[in-house]
Amino acid sequence: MRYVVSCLAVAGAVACVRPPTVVLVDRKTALEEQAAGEHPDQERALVQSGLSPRPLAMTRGQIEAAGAGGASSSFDVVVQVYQSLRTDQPLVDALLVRRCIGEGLDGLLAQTRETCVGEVDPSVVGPLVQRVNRDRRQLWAYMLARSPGASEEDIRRSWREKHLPLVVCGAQVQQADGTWGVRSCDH
Amino acid sequence: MRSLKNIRLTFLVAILSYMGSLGVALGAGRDEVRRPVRLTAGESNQFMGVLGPDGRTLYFASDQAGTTQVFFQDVQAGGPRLLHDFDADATWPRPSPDGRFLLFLYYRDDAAGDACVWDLRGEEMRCLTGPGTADLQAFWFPDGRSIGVVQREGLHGDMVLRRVPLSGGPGEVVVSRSLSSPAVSPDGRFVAYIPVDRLTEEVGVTFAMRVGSGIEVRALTTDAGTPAAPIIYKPDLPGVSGFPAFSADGKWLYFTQYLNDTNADGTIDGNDHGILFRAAFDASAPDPLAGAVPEQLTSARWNCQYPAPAADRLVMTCSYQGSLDIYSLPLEGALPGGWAPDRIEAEVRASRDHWERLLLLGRAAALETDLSRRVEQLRRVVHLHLEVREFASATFYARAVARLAGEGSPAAEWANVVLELIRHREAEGKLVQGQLSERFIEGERKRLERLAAMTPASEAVRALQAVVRSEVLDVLGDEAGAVQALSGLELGRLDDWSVVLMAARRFVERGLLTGDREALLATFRILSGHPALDLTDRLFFANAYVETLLRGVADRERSALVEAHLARSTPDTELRLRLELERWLVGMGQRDPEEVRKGIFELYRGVKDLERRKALVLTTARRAATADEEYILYEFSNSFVSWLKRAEPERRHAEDLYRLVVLERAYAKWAKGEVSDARGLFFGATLQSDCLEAHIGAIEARLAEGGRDVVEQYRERYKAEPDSPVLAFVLAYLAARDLPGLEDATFEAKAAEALRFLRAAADAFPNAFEVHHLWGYVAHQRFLRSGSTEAASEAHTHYLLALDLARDNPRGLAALHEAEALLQAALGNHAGALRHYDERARWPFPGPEAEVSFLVGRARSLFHADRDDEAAGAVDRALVLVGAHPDLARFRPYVLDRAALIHLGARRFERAAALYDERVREMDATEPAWNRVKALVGLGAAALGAGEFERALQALARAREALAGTPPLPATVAGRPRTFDAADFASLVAALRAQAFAGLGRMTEARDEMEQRRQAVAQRLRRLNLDEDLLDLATAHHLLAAYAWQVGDRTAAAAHVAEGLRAVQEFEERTGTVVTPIGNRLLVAYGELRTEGGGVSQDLPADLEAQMRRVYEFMATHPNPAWEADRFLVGLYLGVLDASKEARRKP
Repeated sequence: MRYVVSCLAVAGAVACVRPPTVVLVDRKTALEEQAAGEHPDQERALVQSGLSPRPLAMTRGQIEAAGAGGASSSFDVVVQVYQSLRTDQPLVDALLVRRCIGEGLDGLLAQTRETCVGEVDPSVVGPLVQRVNRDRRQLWAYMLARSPGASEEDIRRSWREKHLPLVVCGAQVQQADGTWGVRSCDH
Repeated sequence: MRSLKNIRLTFLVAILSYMGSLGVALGAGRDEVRRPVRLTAGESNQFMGVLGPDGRTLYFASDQAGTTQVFFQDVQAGGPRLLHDFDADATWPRPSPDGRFLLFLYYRDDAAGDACVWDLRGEEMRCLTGPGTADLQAFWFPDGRSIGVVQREGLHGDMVLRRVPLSGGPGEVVVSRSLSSPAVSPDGRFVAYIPVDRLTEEVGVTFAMRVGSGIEVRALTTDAGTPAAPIIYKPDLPGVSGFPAFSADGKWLYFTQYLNDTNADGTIDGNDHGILFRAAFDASAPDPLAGAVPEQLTSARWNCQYPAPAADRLVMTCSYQGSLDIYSLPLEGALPGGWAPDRIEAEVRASRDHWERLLLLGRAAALETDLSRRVEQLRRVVHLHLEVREFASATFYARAVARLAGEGSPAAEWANVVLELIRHREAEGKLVQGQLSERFIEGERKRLERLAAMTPASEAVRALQAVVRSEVLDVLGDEAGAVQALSGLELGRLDDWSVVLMAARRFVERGLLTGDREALLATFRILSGHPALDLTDRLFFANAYVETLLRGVADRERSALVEAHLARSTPDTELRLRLELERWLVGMGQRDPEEVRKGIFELYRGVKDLERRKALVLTTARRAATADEEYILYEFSNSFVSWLKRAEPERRHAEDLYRLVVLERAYAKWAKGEVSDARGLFFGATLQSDCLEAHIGAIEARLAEGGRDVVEQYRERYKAEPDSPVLAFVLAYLAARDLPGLEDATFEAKAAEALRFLRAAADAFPNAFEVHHLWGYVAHQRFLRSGSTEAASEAHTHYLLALDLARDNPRGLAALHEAEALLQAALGNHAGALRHYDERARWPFPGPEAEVSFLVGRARSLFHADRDDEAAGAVDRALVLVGAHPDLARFRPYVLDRAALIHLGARRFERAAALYDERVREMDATEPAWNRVKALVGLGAAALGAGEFERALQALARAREALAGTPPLPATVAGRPRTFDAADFASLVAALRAQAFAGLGRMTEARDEMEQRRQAVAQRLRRLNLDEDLLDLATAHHLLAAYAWQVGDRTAAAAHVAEGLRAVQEFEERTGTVVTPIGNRLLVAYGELRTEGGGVSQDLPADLEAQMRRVYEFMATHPNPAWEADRFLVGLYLGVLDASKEARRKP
């Protein structure tokens, strides 16, 4: 059993707009058979133009200009130096630069999903931010106890002033007006 | 500057060419840590793979069709095929020892599973167990005449292992205890399994089980004929075991070990990452596994299970980077068996992967016979596990250190303190949202007490004690205590590398938290020269010093900062070397590259050892890539690879770096048209590495230069190795690239030749994407010639394997996504094609012809996927490109035709009509006559859709005229039988003309044309008896009824409505389709006619009212938005009819 709709016959009517209940050869396939001109040589030639037995010859500049990326991941692995000491810092830096987290005005790391470039694993980022912020809060509490007369706000501000110069270039940092900006090292 | 580079390049090419003439070539098999070879591909899951006794047929379960079904494929060629549509879940495939039957678990007639066998020759199935038991797992006994089945009787019953004869019958219980994953030894004497126990008496073992300890091995036959007591093998590993499997020679027991709680659910079980191991099995010994040391076969980076050792390879199921598939490794696993400890150590230093290091160190520890050195290896293992928070493994090996080193020894003291550290970090990791709980605080206070109670004799361990105390206090928020604990600790005086690294972490964490750059620099300065650390670690900390020094510093201030610290640095230290390097690196991108190269090269020449040179080159390469300094990148990657001996493990990475850098340069030269330079670079890469992509580049460049001696050159180059897999690949490539231009008579022989060479190459390069790419290409070409679905399936498998392997190679990915898109589109899977077209769209095109190919192909798939606007946009872009490039003019008729069609299908009638006008105008005598007919019919349809009835009539008149003189259509179109012939075109023209006349109000002509159409459809129906023609007939009647109604001929209108509904009724009887659009329109017309004027007309058959009622009820009970308007109208007319009948019944 085949079920082919003569679509051109009712091109101006509604019959072909609604799909029939049973479709074995769809409307577009039938239309293609009825109305498409037959150019087997040109069709074959174009298919062969799209088929290649080898990688396509593109320069890295062309790849990067197209915004496609993917040209450097193998390179990154090869030039990687083994990490003798694994700390959270490289991940924090990467997330700051990708704008997935930011150095907040309150001195804490903040997750900024709306500005994040690429995908992140929330089960990794969440605990990381919580751990870093817990350590900072504990430090501030200690500093506050050792600084009679100072407010918690004073402590946070002075800690942040000391901390920011060590923040990686390109990191997302909250500005005085509350907006998020990028730390530039080109100035 | 440029001229200097060119001179250098030319010189290099000359040198490389000279080397080539000497026949310098690399052997194909690299002695390295092996990566599993992927055997299956696809977006679905493939699992439980096992090789048949022929060693070539792979059987596996897959969920690609929604349910789990059994597939098989040639292990090398790929092309999975469904074993049989069993119409239900089928899994756990196991071929019989003689290869005649396939045993599997089947769930159609028994939701709890039956063990069934499929006769592979006769294609018959019979089940050996029935609905009375739940059959959970099954395997063959070596005699091939009986199977083993793990069964459970009743919902809460215990399991047994039963031996069931193939000839039928209940069989006998061979193990009467609950168990999982049994495997029988090849001699049939032993069965190995994982014991499981009830967790509670109330609930069955299936619902609440506790996995027993280790693997039980039980002798199936004893001299006394009595059941033997099981031997319990507890591998000296953390975690739990699963899936034992004997090797084909019976000398090894393979199994899966779940080492750590990788999914952090609090339990180590089968849901965590599995790692494959094997243990030597001596069937002649009283305890065949006594003293067996487990050998790790796979890296923890891969999650592997279901080991199925065959005669020549280990087949396994692995989850890797989001894909569950079947893979293979040599029987000895990822590490070559002959590696001595010093080789393993060199591999450890070269490895970039943490879990690979663990794999290597595990092997080194197993090989080590000296106790103190073994303890030291295990301490490294503990350290690495702790670094990646694998607490179960870290605990296990720390205990092993304590046990081996002996109580009171410094290593045992170290292990005891480290165990506290492990438990502390594990407890901290479990804190909810990082918040300290009372239980945690209490636990950590006790930990501090236990630490304080320790009185280690070793000074290093006392330092470690302080470090751990500081970390615990820090987490508890006792900042003063944390600082105080470290106060007496002098990093530079420590003499144990492990303690130095753990203390370093503490100091670094404190420095980062307090934002104290000077403290961090001081720490890194000490560490970069620390005598207890090895050179790799010292270089790492020297680099950390410089990175910390420059972190966040403005570019213009960096140079002065480096100079200042350089002046203060100690000569002949790692830090001095790193700062001297930075002196040149900070100027990169601003200074003359040659000056920078010279400066760094002086440093390079000044250091002679591998680790320093490696650090220098890799640091330079990273920075040069960031600054886009290709020249420097090339110079150092070349120098480094040339310097390294081929046996040195680091050489592989140097080759990879060189290959990446040289290929970039070669492609850049190629793009500029500097083909000879490109060839030299590609060729150079082939001399330094087994890079198949470079061979391809060298071949293409040589051919582009007009060279016709490629085969001869390669045969000369490999004359000493005529069986070289590189040569096989090259010959396959050269054969494959000729395929599109070959006549049918020679095509098949050439394709077979290409595949023969590829098989040889695939054995040596199973993980080279170029091999699978080329294999897919050859199979694809075969499919294009023959339409063979097997060839298409083979192409699909290899394209997917290549896509998986090329995931970091954009050039490969671009070619592969386009090829797979073309393949899927040709198979009619346009949704699948579009996924690949969308991926392909991320990268640029090598030229306008390739882009036109892409755009036309994508437009067609979009058109079929009903994404009409996007389809129209893509094909319009193709048309513009064709117009802009005179060399593409030959494609204009085809592209114009497809553009017109796509716009027509998208109901963009004005644009379609304009394109068809152009198409008709540009046609010449060389075009097939049918193309003229089709274009004119298309023009007529488009004009009709646009409401231009006169224009439509003119086009259709010309179409009718052209039709009269057109030869018969070919019997097939695109390889399929043609369903639309000349008579159908004539009928179509009549139908279109009828509607054009109707649009102009010329109803008599409209009726006459439509009557022609009706007769033609009726004739076709009589001739072909196709169901769909009934609906075309109904449509003709509906339109005839409408025309009659418009001229006031109610009788004719009623007759056509009735005839149309009869046709729809027959369609429903034939196909079971209750609701059709034309049926609904006719029912509405029927209702309108019968209720016209408020009464109930009697000139239409009343029995059709039953059809109307049936269709209405179907639409009411099967809601569908597309039917909503029709349902309302049909319901309305039924209401009027019912009301009229009611009114007539009343007196």
